[in-house]
Amino acid sequence: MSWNYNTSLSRVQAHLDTMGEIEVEKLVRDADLHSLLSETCCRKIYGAHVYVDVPNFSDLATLTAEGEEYRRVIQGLHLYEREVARIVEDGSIFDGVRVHFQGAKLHALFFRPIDDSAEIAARAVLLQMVLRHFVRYIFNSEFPKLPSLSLSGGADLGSAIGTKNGHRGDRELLFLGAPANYAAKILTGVDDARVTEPLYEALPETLQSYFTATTDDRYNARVYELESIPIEDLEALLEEHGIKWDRAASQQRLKDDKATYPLNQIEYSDADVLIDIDSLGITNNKRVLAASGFGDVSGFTAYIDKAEDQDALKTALRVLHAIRKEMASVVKHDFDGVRVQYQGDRVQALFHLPKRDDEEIVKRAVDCAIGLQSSMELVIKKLLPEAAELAMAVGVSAGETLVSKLGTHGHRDRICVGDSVEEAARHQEGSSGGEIAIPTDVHSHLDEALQKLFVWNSNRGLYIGANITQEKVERARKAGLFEQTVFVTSSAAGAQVSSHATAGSRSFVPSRSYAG
Amino acid sequence: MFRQDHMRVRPKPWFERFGGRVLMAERVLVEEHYPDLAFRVEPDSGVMCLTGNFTLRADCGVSTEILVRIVFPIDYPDSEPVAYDAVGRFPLSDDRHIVAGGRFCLWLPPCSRWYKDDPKRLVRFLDEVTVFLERQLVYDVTGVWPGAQYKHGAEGYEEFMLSVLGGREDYLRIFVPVISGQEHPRRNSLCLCASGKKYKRCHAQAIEEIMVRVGRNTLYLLYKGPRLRNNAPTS
Repeated sequence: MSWNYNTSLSRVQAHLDTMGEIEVEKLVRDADLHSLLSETCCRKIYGAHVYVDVPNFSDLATLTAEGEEYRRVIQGLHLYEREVARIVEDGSIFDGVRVHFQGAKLHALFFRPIDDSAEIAARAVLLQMVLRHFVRYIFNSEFPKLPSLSLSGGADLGSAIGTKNGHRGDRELLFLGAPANYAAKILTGVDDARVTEPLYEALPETLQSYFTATTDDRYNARVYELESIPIEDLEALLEEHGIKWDRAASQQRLKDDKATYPLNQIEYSDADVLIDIDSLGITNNKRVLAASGFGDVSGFTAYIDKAEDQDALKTALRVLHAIRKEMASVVKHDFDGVRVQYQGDRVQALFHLPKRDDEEIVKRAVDCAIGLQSSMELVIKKLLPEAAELAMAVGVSAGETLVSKLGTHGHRDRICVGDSVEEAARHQEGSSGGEIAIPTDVHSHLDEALQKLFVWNSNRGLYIGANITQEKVERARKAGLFEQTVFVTSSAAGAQVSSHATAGSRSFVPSRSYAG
Repeated sequence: MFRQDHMRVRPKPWFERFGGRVLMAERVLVEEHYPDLAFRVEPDSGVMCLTGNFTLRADCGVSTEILVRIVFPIDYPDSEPVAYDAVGRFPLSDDRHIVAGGRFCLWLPPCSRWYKDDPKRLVRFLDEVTVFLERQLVYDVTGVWPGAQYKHGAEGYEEFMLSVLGGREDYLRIFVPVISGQEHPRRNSLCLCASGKKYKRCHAQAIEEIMVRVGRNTLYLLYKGPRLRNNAPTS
């Protein structure tokens, strides 16, 4: 189980050879994006991207004791996501696109009416208002035994490229570009809802008045925070925009779902073999000790945003699909991990085997992180020189993780929820291209040679490995080799120095070097 | 009377002697084991070189190519070839054992692994270069020279002499005048180390080994000053 240059090279080359001609056009009329988009059929879509997170679920999935309490957390998470999915997608309510849930975090898109920025922006804001109300006054009252949940939201407006990954039956919408990125970046993780300046500027005045301007110090960007809104105002605004959200109906659906999926039907277990997330659902969940990893193509948003003409966009998308598929292959085939989800230009991975063996699990996750860096630096950049300015940023963390699948209408949102999942995502988001960020407990499980390739960053409280690729790790591990007999083989394919004899190898104790 | 021995005939270069058989034998071995390397005579100097890429393969399949130039001395194979970093792939650094001109210091000269009578001497030399380059790649990653090394410059020679003298620094101090040729103890006199034994039965052999392996010229350079100098003689 390891990364291999030739295997990676063949995989990427084969994908490039079979990848069809990419077509990128502006979306000019309404369409079902799930049917329209594919790896090669891409659209530039003007819309509002909304992220809505319930951060409490991560803590609950990590810290809640086994038994009924844990089943209640699972039930709450699934039913929350079911109702939120309905609110977003129902044609009579918001008529939006549920891109997916990233754990407990919703990513939704509004692009209807086409190019109507005011109405699109209004829907993005009203969704945040509705969901905040839903969580505070409906969900929390239906789940009194769970801690009171809070909601964090973010939204941005603009054009992003919509595409899809190419596996049959395993297709996910992917959105690339600034609005899909910044909407997530401005999330604070505490109880508030924010929008970016472009979205605020597009809002009708009636909605602008509910916002207060502030600065997001992390990005030094002006954002607008949603103030509390009386229910009467919310209902009036929904009516004004033709959004038929009925609080009572929402509450009733939640009650009905609770009756359909009572606690005694919610099951969870540990996993002895590799989890098939697609076999999971509300009644069949996994709770595992796992390492989560996020690999992100650093610089890709800027790369695609600066692609001015069709050819440049096509090139950028070809690069993305090559990287995306290779990232998944490294996770699945090279390191026997679970490729959980694509999230735009990043991939989420999970490693949970061998069962409960924290040392082996984190080693595998870090080896995979190095594999991702190796594919990017040594293979992708060789076959696609236009990807030279891109690099991979990876974050890893480990801990108790709830693994499941949200199953509505054939959409397969694979979800992993836990503090370690959020930590791994944060570690990746704080990393530059070429870096792997790992916490102390992960670092302590690595072998000494590998540990030395990571440097402690006191500001971040993490170990950072910069530009680590597989052959560098092998060389670091070879450092002790030269005190004893080495074996050299050489041929037209090159020379190899090893600690063990192979056919035709020549052995000797390396000379004691000198400089004079 | 005309005397023929006053005529100084320039000797043939090694690769032309014996009908070029030495070169032919080396070429066969190089083609078998290091086919990316090729012999060529440098047009300006007339020196024979072996140049080309050393391709080092990691277990994961990644190959690293390093262009190396190996220069053969006029009296090859009596003297060993010298390997150079042909394009400055690595920085010049004592810690990397790469000195002026990109010359690889494979070993301390008294500890040379060059065995002129071994028919596979050149392949063994190239294997040493391979390992040396592999160590460079390890250094690239770790910043630490992997494996054993002598100290730089004159201290490296001192380390070697100490190892011959069993690591005894007091003995080295005592025998420096002998090693440097300033004193010539009689073989039957008592050894300077105060063991009470005759010199010939005590340290004579070790001192002789040091003097032969380090060489008179190098010893002169090392000890012409009052103390060991840090500017080393060339290896």
